[in-house]
Amino acid sequence: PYAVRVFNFYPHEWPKPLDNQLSPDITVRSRGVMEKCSFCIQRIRRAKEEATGEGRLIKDGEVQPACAQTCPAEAMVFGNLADPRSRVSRLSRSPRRFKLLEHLGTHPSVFYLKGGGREHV
Amino acid sequence: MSENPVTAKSAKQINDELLSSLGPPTLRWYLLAFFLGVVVAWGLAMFIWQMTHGMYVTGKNRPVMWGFYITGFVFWVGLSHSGTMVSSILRLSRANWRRPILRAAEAMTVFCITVAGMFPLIHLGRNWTFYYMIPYPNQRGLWPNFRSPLLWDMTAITVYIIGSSLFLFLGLLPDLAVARDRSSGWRQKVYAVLAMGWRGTSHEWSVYRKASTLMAALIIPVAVSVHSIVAWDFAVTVVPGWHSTIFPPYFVIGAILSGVAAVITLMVIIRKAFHLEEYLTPLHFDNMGKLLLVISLLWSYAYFVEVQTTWYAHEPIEWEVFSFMSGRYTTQLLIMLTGNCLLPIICMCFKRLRRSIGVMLVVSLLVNVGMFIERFLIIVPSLSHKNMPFVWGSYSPSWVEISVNLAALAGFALLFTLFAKFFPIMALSDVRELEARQSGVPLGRTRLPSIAGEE
Repeated sequence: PYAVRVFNFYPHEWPKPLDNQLSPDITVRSRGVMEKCSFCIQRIRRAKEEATGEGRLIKDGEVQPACAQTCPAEAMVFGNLADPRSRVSRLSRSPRRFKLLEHLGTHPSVFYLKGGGREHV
Repeated sequence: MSENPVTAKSAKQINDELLSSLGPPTLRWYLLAFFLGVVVAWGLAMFIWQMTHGMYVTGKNRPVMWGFYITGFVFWVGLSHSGTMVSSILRLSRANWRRPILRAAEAMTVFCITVAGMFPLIHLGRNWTFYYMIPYPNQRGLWPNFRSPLLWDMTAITVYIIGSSLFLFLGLLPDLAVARDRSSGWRQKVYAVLAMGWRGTSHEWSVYRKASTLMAALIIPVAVSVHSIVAWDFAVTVVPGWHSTIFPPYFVIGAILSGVAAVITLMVIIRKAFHLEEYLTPLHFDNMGKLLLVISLLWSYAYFVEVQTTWYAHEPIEWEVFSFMSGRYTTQLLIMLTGNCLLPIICMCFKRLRRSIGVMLVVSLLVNVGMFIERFLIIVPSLSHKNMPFVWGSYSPSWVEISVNLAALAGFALLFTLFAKFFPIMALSDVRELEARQSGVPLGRTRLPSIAGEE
């Protein structure tokens, strides 16, 4: 997603119990570090490791980034775009789809769906 | 050159006059160095404040992440092209009027690029991790990203610092030998080491001549590539207003403009400070003024082309950036256009104005003010109104950034002051070479040149 790059201007402190929101899988960014959406790479890696350990492929919907997991309206869908049968692949072929800044040739991985959809029905 | 009064002086007199600045420092010198040192120390204190407290002390915020530091960086890289263009090109075109200007221009190049190289380090979010950019095998599992123009910057600037320092040192060798022969004590030891045993034999002179010509020819592509690489910091992004292929030539032309103007300013200052009125005559200012006119015309054309292609394409976001810039920063835009286009083009057309030292000083200072504003107007408005309207923002510089930029200027001036105290500010051997070439031997009723050689 565009424009979600954030720079850590201040040294952040997380007094208890606020430190519960910190993920144990990734380094907490310190002052002076730029951060942005990484599609929760740590969850993707964890799922890949488990799947390889069990000798199977990742099931569709097994990996949920934090934003998709949190959203109460289930507005965000994440999955394997390369797999044509996954839910995210089917949605990415919807006639409602659009991408941002396509004309710049940046090939973003985020598809947006315009209004009026009935996929949930 | 019928106007050259230097030919009437003896060799010793020329040496004395040009080396007069190498004497023991006067109170005035100490005061100047102290004042500049205080400004530099203040800038250093501000930098340490920023490093310990955080980048929030600067004016940077989403989305304008590049502010005065990058403006300063591009400005000083541009200024560093002074020596290259003036010294190399005039050397290669064998223009005689280059001789008094060479040394100051070459020294300026080295000090400007040194100051410029500080800015990317000052601008880092975690300054203490700057060594991550150096490609050596490490335990971090990190390797610098060679696809990033910021890394090309680092490479180009390092090459340019090394190249221009060598160029300066090569030109200094005969002058260091003269200084060595005339000094005593610890100075003599230092000059002796630096002069590398120069004895002035004809073999040494012929090698020197070949090496200078070669270096002059080689430093030009380095300079062009350095500023093109700095231009690519902007041009390879997709930010509107930056995503244009004209950036490399436009930046190089801007650098030449700013460099030529800075050399003129420097000429006025050293002429006054070291009483070198007979060496830096109105003829030299006349010729530099003509150069300034040509470059200013070229820059005006490049700027016009940039605006005109933006207007012609009428791509919404690009035109929006330009409208925003001309609406919010109108005063700065007008000052820039006056300083870079109107004043130089109008004033430099007239010989009387070109030969007037005061006019040249004012015009050259205004050109550099205009160039700084130009760098600012390229960087900040484009970032303020980037591709996604929901993150449009604004920027104003904080006192930390202003202090650091002023300290950079003071640092450059301090380096130059120290340089002028220890090394001859004018290319002694070049000036005396001209005098030797033009001195004649009376033969009957004519005067024949005493030296045969190509010129």
